[in-house]
Amino acid sequence: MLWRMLLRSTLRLAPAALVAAACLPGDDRPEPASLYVTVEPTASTRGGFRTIDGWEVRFERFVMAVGDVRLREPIDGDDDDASATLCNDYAQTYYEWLFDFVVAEKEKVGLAYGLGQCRVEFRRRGPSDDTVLGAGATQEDLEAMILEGPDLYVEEHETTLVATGEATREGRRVRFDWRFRVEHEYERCPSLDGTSVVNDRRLRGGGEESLELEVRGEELFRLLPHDDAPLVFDPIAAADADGDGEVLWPELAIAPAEPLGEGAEQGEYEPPYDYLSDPPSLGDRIYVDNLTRVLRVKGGGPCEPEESRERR
Amino acid sequence: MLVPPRVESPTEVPYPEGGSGDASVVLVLVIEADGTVRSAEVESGEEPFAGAAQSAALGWRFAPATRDGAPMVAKIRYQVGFTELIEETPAEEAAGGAGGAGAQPPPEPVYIVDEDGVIEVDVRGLVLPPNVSSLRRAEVRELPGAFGDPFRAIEILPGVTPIVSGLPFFYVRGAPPGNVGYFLDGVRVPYLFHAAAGPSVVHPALVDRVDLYSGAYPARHGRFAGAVVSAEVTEPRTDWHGEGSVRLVDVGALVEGGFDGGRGTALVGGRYSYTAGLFSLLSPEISLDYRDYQARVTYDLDDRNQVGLFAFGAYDYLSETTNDIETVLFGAEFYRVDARYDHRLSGGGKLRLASTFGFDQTRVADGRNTRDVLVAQRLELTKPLGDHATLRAGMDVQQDLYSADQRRFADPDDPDTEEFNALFPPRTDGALSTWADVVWKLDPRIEVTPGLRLDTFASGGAWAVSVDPRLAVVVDLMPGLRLLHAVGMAHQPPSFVVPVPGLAVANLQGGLQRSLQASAGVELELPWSTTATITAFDSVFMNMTDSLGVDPGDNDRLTLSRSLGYGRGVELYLRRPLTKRLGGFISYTLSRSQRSAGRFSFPSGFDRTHVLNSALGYDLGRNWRVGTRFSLYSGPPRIDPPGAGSLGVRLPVPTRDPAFYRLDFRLEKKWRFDDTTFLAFVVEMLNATLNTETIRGQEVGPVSIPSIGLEGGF
Repeated sequence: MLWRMLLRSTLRLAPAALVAAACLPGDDRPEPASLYVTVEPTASTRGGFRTIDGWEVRFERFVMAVGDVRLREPIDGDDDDASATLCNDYAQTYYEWLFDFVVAEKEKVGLAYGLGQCRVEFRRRGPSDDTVLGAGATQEDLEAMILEGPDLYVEEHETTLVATGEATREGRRVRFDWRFRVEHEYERCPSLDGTSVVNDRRLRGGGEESLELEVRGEELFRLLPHDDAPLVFDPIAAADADGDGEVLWPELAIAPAEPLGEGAEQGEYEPPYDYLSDPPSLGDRIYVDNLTRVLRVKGGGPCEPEESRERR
Repeated sequence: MLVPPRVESPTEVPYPEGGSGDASVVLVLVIEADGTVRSAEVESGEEPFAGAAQSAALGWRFAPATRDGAPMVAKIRYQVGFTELIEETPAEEAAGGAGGAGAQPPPEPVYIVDEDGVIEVDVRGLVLPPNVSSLRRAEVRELPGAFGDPFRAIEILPGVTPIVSGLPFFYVRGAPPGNVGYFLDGVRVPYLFHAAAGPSVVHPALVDRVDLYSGAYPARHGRFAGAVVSAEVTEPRTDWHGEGSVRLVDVGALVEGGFDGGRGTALVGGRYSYTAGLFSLLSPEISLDYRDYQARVTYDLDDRNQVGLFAFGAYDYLSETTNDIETVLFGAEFYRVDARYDHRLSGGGKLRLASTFGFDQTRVADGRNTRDVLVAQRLELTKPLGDHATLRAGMDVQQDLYSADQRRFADPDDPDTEEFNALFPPRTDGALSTWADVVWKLDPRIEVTPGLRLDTFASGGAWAVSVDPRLAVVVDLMPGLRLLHAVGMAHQPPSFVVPVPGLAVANLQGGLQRSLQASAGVELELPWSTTATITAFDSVFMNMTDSLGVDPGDNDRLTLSRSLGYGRGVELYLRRPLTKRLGGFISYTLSRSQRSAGRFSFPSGFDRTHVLNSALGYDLGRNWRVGTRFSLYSGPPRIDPPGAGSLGVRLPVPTRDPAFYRLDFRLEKKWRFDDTTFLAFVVEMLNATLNTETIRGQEVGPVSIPSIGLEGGF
């Protein structure tokens, strides 16, 4: 009887004693702030726009994956607040949403948590197994875009943007159906005047912060890679060498682009990665210069992206 | 309780005149209750060695055998080894012994008879089954780069392929780290090393022997489809003894002794790092802390019955403080209490009934802890069946209660949250096993061990049954030449990339992993106490969760790919005990580890065609000893073809990272105060050449670990 009682007590108490002896603390960090990141397309992306040379451009589809919200320490020199603290990252997101921004409205990109002065990084990327389908995007989109392949600029990668549509002027119709495979990691997004950074947030315990991103499809049609440059379509229409009414990448790759030297801020601009042609072709202008401008913080200037080949 | 005699005087025997070459003599000694040698009979051995050993033995002194603490007469067998020293004549001090040869230290005694007040102790070496590589602590102590830790020496054994030099996660004959199980005195433990690369989680003085079962292991071992690392602890001792060490980063000690007239023994040991203090000086925002403890109590109820309690645990903690907020980067702990009842059977053999309680916990991402509360019972029986066979059988049942903190702060739409919760939900896992094998001497030269193991696994609502037949054959073709063959099946529930305390894949998702492992080897005893083993192995793996070996490096770790695969190769192991004046080994593995997933077949992610380890230790005299070790690994396959995009692919014939080599060294000065008391100053460094390794095109390291400290014992 005594043995049985002892055995029963031991079986109950021994595991409890071991658990009580554990030393690893629980999560006793203070309450963080939440950071809600959203994205919405410009009206031009959704409904089309008119270029300075009289073309009516309208996207049929503008399918792109956005996500991977990370919190980082602000880069030295960007911090204008000397008393700012460093960043405590509590929770980041490791996935992305796939949207067709022709039909998407203001959409969620991710919910992160942290404390301190944090830089909010995000990515325009190819879809993965962790991609969540958002407004307008279909499983077929995902399955097509997740396939790796080459283009003129990338040897092997998923598709990161599908932009299809047409431009019309005076009865002439020119189609475009462009796939982009390079992806961008946005680390630093300056303000419009370039004097501050707009993707930094001060996260205080219990607070609710937000960051709004914007998809600007029209940026693909900038004559030059700066905000004051006009939106044009004539050079693209002129690149339709075979006159079949559709402008393809091989045609863009041999069409001339407006020289950078004519730009208002030409002295300050550095392309994010190498052009294929020298001088740059119209394809280079769209793929290298303008593509980086498509995603940015709402109200801010174009971000300074890193061409990203690695996944997490 | 019976305690065998222990040598108290030097047992070196001068090399006899007229002798040549190496020789071995086995003596049967009768030792009086006062420790003197009453008689010494030659059981085997040639003249003039036999006579020299016999006459020398009559002058030896022993601590007498005891029963329940009372001295008694004992009969033992004692092996004396003679080594002809031609090329290695030492410039040693006169007191160092010798002039020619010395007796080899006896292996761990094994009781075989108990009669008429005389115990008989067999001190011949243990015959290990095929597919086992064994490391004794006495030898590992001298191994450069192992820091005296038997577990750290595993990586030098043939068939072991490291993932990264210096890190204790390895493939064994093609089986990934998640398929390698760790056991300490029969109790499963989740990991062996502090903070991944630190010292082992058990004080080295407690470990008598580490066995690496590379496949087709005895029926006793199961639930792991790759390999088993099993550490046997030292037998309880009634004489007070201990060891201690003070190193740059930690301090450790172990003390054991008897009580109640020798009926009981008590042991306490542990290690504590003061790296937290050191780091706070160098880098105040980083905190690194580790510690472990061991305690053991045994008590003889009578001559045949003993009860015992063995408790041990380990704790690791690494954190970073930013904005006065401490974030845990790595945290893990485990604790075990094993209560045993041992019964010596009247007709020979023994029975053990044990209950184990355990608690594992790990900090995973996002501030969550995962944990496992385990309760297990096991029964182990060893029973002679006549003169030529021994039955070994047992059963065990284990229950694991897994739980994990929910993500306090998380994006509810993040698929990672859902995948994590699906992979590691709170639940109870169970396992029930029965096993048996018979070590059967068909003939004085042929030993066959057929075995069978049955396991039932349950997790959540899922369950599975496995049947694992095993067979081992040892054939002594002639003196000094032995054949070692083994074949066996093994099953394992789905496993994580590496063993993580408190984290196990739930619900048997995707079914059990399976392996069929076979090996054929030849063991050859060569002159100068040198042994050579050549083994060919072929392991087939089915339904494996080998994420490291299959998936591109950037794939999601929460996705468990299933793959087929094999590991084939040849191992060469040439060794002379490092405890000798000049000792060393060469361990070489030529292998190919292949995986197939879907339609694709390719080398495993850490397939290394060539793995070479060699070491040399030399006694310089005056108790100075120096050693060096050379390790060379050919490079693992790369994932991405040159210029590829983000999602790499594994190619059938991949490019490979460059080969890696490193040199370790060790220097020891020992002061002996009597037969057992010593103090040693040890300087040691792993990767003294500061070489970096390239893994998947990325430079890693250098992973170099220096150590300087004092060790002592009594």
